[in-house]
Amino acid sequence: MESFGNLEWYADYRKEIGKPAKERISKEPLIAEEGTYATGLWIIRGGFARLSRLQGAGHRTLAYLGKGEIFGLQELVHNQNQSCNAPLPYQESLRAIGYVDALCIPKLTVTEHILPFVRRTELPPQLQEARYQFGQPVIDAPLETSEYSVDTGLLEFLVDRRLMNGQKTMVIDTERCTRCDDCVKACASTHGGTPVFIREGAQYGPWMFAQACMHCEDPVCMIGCPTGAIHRDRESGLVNINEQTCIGCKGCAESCPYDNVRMVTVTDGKGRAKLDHDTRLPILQASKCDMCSSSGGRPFCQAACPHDALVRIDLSDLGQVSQTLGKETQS
Amino acid sequence: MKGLQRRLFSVTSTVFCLAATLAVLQEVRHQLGDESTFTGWTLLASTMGLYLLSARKKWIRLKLGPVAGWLQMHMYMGVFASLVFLTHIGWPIRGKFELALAFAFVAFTGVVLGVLNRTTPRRLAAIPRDYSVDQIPALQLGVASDAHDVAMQSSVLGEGATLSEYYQRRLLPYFQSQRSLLYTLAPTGFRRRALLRELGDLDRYLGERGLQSRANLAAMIKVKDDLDFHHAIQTRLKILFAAHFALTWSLAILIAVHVVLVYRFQGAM
Repeated sequence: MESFGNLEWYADYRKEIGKPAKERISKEPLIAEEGTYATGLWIIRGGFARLSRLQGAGHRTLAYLGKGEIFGLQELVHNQNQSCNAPLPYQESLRAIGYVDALCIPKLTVTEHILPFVRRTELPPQLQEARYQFGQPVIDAPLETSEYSVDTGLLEFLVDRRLMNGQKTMVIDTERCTRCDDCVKACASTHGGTPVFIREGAQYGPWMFAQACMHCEDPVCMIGCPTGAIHRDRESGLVNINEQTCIGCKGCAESCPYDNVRMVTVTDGKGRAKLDHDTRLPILQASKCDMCSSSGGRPFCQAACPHDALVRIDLSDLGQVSQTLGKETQS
Repeated sequence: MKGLQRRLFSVTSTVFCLAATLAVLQEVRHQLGDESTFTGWTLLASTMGLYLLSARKKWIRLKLGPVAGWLQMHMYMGVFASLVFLTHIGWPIRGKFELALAFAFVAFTGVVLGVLNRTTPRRLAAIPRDYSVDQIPALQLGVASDAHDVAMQSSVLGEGATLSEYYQRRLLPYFQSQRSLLYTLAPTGFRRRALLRELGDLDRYLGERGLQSRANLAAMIKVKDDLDFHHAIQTRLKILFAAHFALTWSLAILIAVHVVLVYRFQGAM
């Protein structure tokens, strides 16, 4: 088991976000490099890794791998089946995005103790045209080919902004949204008059990734909460804030890389700000989208949208990204 | 229900309701019954159905399906109600009250809203940045202030008065005033294009620094136009929605008065 990157990656992320992509990617810790000898099978245990390939003078993101996903199996299977030929090196690079825990199973263990017990149908298909072969030149693949029907630009966008971390990301189709703000009004009406999201955010093509808590797979906002008020619900998997134990230290708001946690004034039933006994200053508490979990079912912002412009999607799942955003951005 | 399924369901329901209404109307005619009473009550019921969308939006906490589905139902029910209304009033339209009722009938604003709801988002999405209508006035002020600084600096930088004079004459009114009502109703890019062309014509009189100032001003003209465009389009939609909403309630009052009058003076008819 190896760890790559920094657990508190949000601080570096804020510094790096404005830098050119090439510079940012080159700083990402390399787990396995394309063109080098395939030494083992990598299993991601936590965090996200960028699957990339050299393209011209830069790196092209092919996919991002999350918890439970594997890297290097295709090369190992190929090398076992074609044992008389020269072995294939890794065909892609694997880099840690922020922080990654990965398990490496050595090649010998895989070929002797794992592959003989796996059905052929469950193994990845044979590599028809290997990009990297020892002693042979490398040719760039055309940009449009992609394993998933996700636009390469969108994929790079999601990874560069670390949005693939979101499991309940609010995505607004700006080609459907009339800016009526019914979503904001519905949110405000169910959260004591103050909406817990902002209908603004990074945009790629028609898709706006609104500033609403994404209930991340790797919620860095939870790191360092002194009372454990911000926690992941065991049943729903949502990241929630316990109002009874939140002391308003701003730790979560400052560590959320997406600025989706905000500090709001605590009010009484009549909407008046509650004041601290000693300082007479308003008491602040962390506030963020709770997916209307107290009311159950789907969030009211989504239910209130009259134009079906607002969706919640799991960006950590490339299949779902492809299904929801893939076709629209490509057309 | 997905979009296509929902549309199919709505179309089928509307056609079915319309066919059923016409069949019953035919039967009423055969039996020499009162057509107006039947169409009137059908119209009243369908109009009440139209108000359900407002109720659904108000009671968002109730689990009654997405508002998008209710909006679609509202639109199809609006078509149905309009057709029943035409049957009810007959042709030519009789009396001033019906005329007022016809005018108040929100179909026109509803249809325009329906069309704008489809076309507006694409027009807004074509602008590189998305602006919230509440933030636009502050952003417009910021751009105006920046443009003023750039234009005034150009004369200080030894570029002569070309840019500052042009700014004073043509750009100051553009940056510092709101667009006309006509622009709000039908925004166009004529003024933006004209200003950019005129600004480009000044290039021959400008030095290196002046050209840089000119480029900055051109960028600001574009930003101001984008802001105006967003403001106009969003305001237009909000005004139309408010008009539609107000008309629906005036319609409700007219319907109530109409029903009372009809039953009060039924014997005279």
